[in-house]
Amino acid sequence: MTFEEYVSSRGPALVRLARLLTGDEHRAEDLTQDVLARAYVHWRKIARADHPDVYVRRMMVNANTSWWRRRSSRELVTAEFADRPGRGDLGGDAADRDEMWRLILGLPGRQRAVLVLRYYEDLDDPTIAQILGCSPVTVRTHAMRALSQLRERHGVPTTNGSRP
Amino acid sequence: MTNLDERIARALREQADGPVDTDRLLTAAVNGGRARRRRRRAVLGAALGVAVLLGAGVALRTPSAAPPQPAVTPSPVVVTPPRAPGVAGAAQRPASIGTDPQLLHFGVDPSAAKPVAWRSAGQVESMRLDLGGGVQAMVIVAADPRTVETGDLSQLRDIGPDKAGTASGDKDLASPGPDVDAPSRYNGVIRQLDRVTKGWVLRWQPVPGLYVRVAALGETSAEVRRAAEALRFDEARRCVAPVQLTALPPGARISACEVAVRQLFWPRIVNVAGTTTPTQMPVAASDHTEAALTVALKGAATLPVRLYYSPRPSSPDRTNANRTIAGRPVFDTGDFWQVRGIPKTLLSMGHENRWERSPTDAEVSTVIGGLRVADDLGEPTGWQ
Repeated sequence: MTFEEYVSSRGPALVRLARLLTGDEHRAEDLTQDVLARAYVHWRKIARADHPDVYVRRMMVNANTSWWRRRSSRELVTAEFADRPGRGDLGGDAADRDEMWRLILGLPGRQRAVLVLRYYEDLDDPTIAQILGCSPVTVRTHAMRALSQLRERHGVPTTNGSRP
Repeated sequence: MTNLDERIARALREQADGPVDTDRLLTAAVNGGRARRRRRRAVLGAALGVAVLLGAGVALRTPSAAPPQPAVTPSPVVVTPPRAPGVAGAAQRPASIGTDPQLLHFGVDPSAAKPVAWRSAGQVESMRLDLGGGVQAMVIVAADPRTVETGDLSQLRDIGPDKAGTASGDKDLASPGPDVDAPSRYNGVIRQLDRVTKGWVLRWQPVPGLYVRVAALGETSAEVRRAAEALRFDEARRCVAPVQLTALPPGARISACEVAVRQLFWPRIVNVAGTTTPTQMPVAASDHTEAALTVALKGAATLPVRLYYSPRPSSPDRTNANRTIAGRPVFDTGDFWQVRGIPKTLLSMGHENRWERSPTDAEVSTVIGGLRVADDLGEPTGWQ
């Protein structure tokens, strides 16, 4: 598969993943463009990999982490995600999703990445571990902590049976 | 899946949702990749040069940086979407805006501005206009103000608030935040677009119930006024594209038509955690053609059909098909299908939204069977 073919077919999915990793529409596009530009340089190697998608997603997660590290020393990060409507604007279901998103956005980066890859990308733990460069056990630990926080903050009973 | 699992999944889908301008992403990625490669070669060349100077004593011919890509001169091709005879313009029927993806319910005086991109989908229609001298204007038209503000992702990224329609760092100064969709903003007043770009925005209602926003760059507001005066709301045009879908699966319809015959430069500003810093959009002028026709399949699934044509001699012709569908060679990756055999063109369709079902083989076969690609992709006047 050529680079152009890959971007044409997987580009939208990468941008959507980036929206969830970054929490910012513009930053998501910049992140995706940056990662794909780097992938372009090494495309022959990436295309030969068994799972180019996993490779590129790993680049996305790592680039996002690096970006936030660099950014945190230069710019003041606001606690609130400013680009979303206030809760007063929303109806019941929408307010619930908005509240859940804010809680997810407040999770540590690795925990959020695990939730995104598991619940949005619908990937299994070994694949998530490959993307994050850790073991499946670590993935489950991140997921367990993230879910625990969400249950606690969102008022969900602890015995609801979410997979750990 | 438990209640919590479902709530997490729903929240994530909602946040990730929204159209993606794949063609622009590809252009930016390729441009960025080439620039990165040139820098790497330059650094390598410099390092080898230093090694020579340090007395290796061997006459090395250092690889110089690759010559920069020649500046792309936008194609002089000009096309105005042809008239749609017998169809009322937006001034007569504002509610018809964006209801038929094959139509644009407004036009442009070709002597004043040249359309370089057009789009019709989801109750909103838009155009990008070349005003000459490299000046670009963006036009969004809808029957309600909120749709104008939120309905066109590619333009919103450049000139407007985010998809939620709330205040953000790159809003125009006229934006009152929560009242982003207030009809009273469409009062014919020209305002500065933001604090960092030399842009201007004009909102007005040509007739009651028809909302228009035009933005353009310039030292003064003259350009945006010129763009607005070039618009014609008493006529309708056809959303012509270099590809046509003459057959659709049962229950399916075309839900969006989007075409760009070339790209013009537009500066972007990036909003990071409340700070606004000017950056230049990585996509500069280019001469390729992009088109996307989105098929809405039965059962809330979509099948976007995308065409990317680059007239550059270096553009590869792709031939590695792994199956034949409806008589066409196709590279099938399971949930994505690339139609081969069209010179200098990437034509693909596929499953882009993971939460939707995948198109069936029968649906894909029907769409591919009905594909009609223009004989000359670089000659828009021949498009249907």
